[in-house]
Amino acid sequence: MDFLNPEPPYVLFRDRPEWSDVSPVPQDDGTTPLAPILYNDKYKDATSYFRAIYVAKEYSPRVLDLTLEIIKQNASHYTVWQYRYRTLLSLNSPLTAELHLLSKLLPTHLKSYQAWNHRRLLLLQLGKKAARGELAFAEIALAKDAKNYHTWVYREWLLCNFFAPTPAITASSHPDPEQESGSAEPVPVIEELDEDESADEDVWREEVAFTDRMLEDDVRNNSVWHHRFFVLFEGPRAKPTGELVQSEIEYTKHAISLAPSNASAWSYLRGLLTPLHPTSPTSASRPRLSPLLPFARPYTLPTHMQSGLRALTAAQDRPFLPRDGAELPCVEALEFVAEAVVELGPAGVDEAGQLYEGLKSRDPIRKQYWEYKKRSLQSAGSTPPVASVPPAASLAPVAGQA
Amino acid sequence: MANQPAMDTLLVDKHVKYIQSLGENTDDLMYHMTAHLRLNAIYWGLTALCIMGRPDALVKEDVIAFVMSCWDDDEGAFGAHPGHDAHILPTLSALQILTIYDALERTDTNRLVTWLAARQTPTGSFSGDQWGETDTRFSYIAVQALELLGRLDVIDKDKAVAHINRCKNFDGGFGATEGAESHAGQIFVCTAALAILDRLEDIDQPTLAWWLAERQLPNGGLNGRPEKLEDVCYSFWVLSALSILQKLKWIDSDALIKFILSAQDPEGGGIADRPGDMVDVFHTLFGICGLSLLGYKGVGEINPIYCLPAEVTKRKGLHMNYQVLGKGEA
Repeated sequence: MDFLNPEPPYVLFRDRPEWSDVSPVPQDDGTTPLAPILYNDKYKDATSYFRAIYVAKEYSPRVLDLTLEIIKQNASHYTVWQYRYRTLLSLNSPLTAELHLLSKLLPTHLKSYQAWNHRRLLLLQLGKKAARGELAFAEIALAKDAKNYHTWVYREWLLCNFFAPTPAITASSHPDPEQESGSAEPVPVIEELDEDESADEDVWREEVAFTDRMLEDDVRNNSVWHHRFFVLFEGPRAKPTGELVQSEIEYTKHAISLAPSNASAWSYLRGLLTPLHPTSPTSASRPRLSPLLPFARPYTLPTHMQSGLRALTAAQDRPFLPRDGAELPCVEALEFVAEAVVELGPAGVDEAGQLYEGLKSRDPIRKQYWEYKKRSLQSAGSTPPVASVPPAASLAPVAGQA
Repeated sequence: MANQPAMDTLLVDKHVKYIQSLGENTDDLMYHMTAHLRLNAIYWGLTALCIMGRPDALVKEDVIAFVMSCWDDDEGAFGAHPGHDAHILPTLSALQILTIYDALERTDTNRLVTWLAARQTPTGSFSGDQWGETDTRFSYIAVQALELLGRLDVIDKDKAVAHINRCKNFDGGFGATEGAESHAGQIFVCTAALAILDRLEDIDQPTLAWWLAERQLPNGGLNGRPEKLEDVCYSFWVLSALSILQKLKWIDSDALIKFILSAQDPEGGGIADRPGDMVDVFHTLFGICGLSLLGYKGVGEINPIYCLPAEVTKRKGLHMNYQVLGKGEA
């Protein structure tokens, strides 16, 4: 709401003199109106004018006014979005201005596939110079809705498409069959390798810092944990060294100490402990959890035991103990320990069985799953134990493999 | 809400009336705003009616006539509403409706096959329309649509699978594109697509099934990602994937049934995303489908791979490898 510049009162298109040459086309609901529609006046008015210019294939500036009005009222009208895009290209409109205009409509964006796709199409035309600004836009969008799936997918697309080391074919490679003169078609854009590699590297590095900030806001935001893993370990600029894995383990341990009941953090930890790039895509590699047992075990003890535990813990290990006031034990830790101890041999299998039995009452909604896990211990004759527990320093599931 | 009537049964008659009324509800503002979903909405309504045992609550010829009026002759596929551009989402809905009515011959299947084949990109992903947005949803939709038309041969299946596998994440789940977060909706479409393409072994099944089981919240409802709210539609996305992976027992079905039933509108009919919210036909279908997979008495069987009535998919000889609770051990 802009108090200094209030919006002018809305004028129906049928009352706008510049539209007086157009005959609006009423809604056609097919041969029999199976789903007849009564529009409110504003929407009926605008869409009836849209149908007229759509049929006439008009791509003029006033069409931009019209399509904007419809989009404001209904951000999912995909036909209108597409027509607007064609109009922009046909008029050679400044697309950066379009991005800015749309950014003012951010609330309509947030859950509209079409709004985000429109931005993507504009970026394919504008190229890399616009991409940094779009990262900033995505950050503003995430400030409003930190878990918005579209926004995160868009952000990941920006990073991979404009700041990745290999050229990306991003537009459809199929030519537009329409081929009308004056009609716009999406032009496949192949981004050339940017000479300034270090600038690209900076962008990805900033991305890690970005996830730090977002986790400070909400350490339980699963989208952020996912994004961090993608940036550091799976994306086109990932460099998953042993040192990186180790430092991320410390990072995650810290996060868990702040908020133990955090499925995303425990899942991230498992991801760190899973060898990357298994030899065959169809066989999943299993994580090796037992090295983290000393970290995880305190989280399986009840709250009242924590102060005693802290007193007995060496100073250098205390930072990763649960903070005061944490509600413990947490299900994630019990599960983690159960899986980890199995790696150690038959005594571990016994302990795992007890832990799964306990989980049936702690997490009763999934008691069938815990029963399954318990039964799997017996029927498999337990998974073969790891031959030796590797010392922490050599914990490097992947070292520098690209 | 005080004085809420106990809702421990599925209010079939109310839901049938609600679906029928969608064509009459001319005062509803939201109704006209959803023209871009109209064909999808009819498919949702019709499928719900079928598994409630009331397929004749809509007039078959009227529905088919409407479907045909959504044909975009420039492209050779279906839009969501007359005059709307072709898109893969309403195209599948059209094919699903015609399959239910055993009326596929009414449409130009050759042009459809061509249009669908053109959706596959060089990387193996699929676009929703000529404008190129790709998403694993569209992989599933294209694969199902072509199987309904008996023409899966026109796509490169290996590349399609390779792309889906690239959308797999470290937690065993799948996202919309490479690098996208695991999300129950995307997991459903990837799992179902792999089922149709006979590549379920590419999934890390125990890990994924556990991730899905973790979606159940203390209130019995399911969410779509960790730390998000419950929503009745996840009763389908999550449950279907679990059904295909034969792990439905890993969630508490009584608690989920209670949750779905509590999201009904006992006066106007229909089901909402969660108790107390406004209903819509999308959540009505997916709530009822959830009940079907959980073996709820009185609801017909849904085939989760296609979200079509099981008897329809049986008639067409489609994939039937999924689990329904209480229907013999799988």
